[in-house]
Amino acid sequence: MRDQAFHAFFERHHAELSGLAYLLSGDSSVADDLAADALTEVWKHWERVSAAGDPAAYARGIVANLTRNWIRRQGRARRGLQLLGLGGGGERDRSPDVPAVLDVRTALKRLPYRRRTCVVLRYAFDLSEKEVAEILGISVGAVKSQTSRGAKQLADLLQDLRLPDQLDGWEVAR
Amino acid sequence: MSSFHDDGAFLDGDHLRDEMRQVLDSRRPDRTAMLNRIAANRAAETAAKPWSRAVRLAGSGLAVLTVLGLGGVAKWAMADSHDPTPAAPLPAVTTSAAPSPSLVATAPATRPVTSRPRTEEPTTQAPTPSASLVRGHPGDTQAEKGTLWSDGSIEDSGNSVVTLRPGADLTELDLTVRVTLTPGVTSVGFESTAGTVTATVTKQADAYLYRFTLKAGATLTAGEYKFTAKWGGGERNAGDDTYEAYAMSVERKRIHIYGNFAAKD
Repeated sequence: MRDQAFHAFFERHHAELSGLAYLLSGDSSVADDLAADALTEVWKHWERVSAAGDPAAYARGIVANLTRNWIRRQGRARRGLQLLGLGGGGERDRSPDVPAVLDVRTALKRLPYRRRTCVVLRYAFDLSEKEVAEILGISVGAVKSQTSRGAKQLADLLQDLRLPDQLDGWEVAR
Repeated sequence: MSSFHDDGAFLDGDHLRDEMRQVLDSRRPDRTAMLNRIAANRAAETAAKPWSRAVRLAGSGLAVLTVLGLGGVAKWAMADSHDPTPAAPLPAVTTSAAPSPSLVATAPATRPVTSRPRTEEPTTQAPTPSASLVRGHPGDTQAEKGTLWSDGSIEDSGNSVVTLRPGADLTELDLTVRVTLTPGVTSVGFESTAGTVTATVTKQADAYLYRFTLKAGATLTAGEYKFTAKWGGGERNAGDDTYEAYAMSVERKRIHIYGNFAAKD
């Protein structure tokens, strides 16, 4: 019974949760693990979580927490590896048109984690401010300000990242 | 849309939305890998539960823990079979413990073993392995006696393994593995390849004692058996860990062996 319900939940949400971990961590190779660990938590507390409300919201919150913890743990070691040109490995889908993808990922990584989470949940997953507030356990007002600051910062970063490419056409039409 | 000089274009939610959706669409999660990881997590969880409870009880002052709560082990211990190789229960214990990162302590590949000067003089032979005089420290070993050969080794995953090779059947066996209480160490269970042996863990003032006992009336046939004391808590110095066994061979010969887990030359 529980396994059946959980399995249905898995099928419905695993891709989304992995995507969330991917956008927040910027690391494709670890995103599936983080999402799977979050799903394990959902399974462990299934009765309570499914009775109390929205298991998906609970799962997103767990993904956000696990990813933050992972980033903290990895930070130093990963930065070291990247300096040696060894980091960022494990990308499975390095398609030819990655520059745009890399831009957003690079820019997202520079956002403070709380802002990053708000922007990703609001924009990539189309959640309301109220939903994001519940997932992250912060106030709607905080979500509002974090999201708007995050969006502004992200836009500026993307602009900086793309500026060199766009200097050729000085009258860029979008 | 407007030119890139117009900040409004970049602050547009639709724009950010499209960018991030593109990132998401550029990758596909590995569904099978996720299912596998969840299964491994769940197996570890199931295996960890009885133990964490046991360790909590130990912490709350209960001196003796009979830790047969582990499903597979309990069945295995109660099965009144003389068959030395029970098929089902043992592998269940093994597999459930394997993928658990919380259960598996990391032991250094080449363990620093500090030799400990012995202060106690061996006087009379201790009647039980739990007596105050602990045998088996480096310099005080008897790994082989009569028809029984033994060896202790640390496997890289926090397992202290005692290998026993009785050359003749044993009618009695009482093996104690002593894992000293180094900082942070916890007992996370035991394994045995001998089906006629029951096991318990007790916590003493200075060590966990893993005791493997051949069931009354049972026989441990000649062969090779591994008895594993599993511990967690990360790297530790196992230099003071010892094992000691009392056995009786079919020829009614008493056998007493003792040793440690230091790397052999």
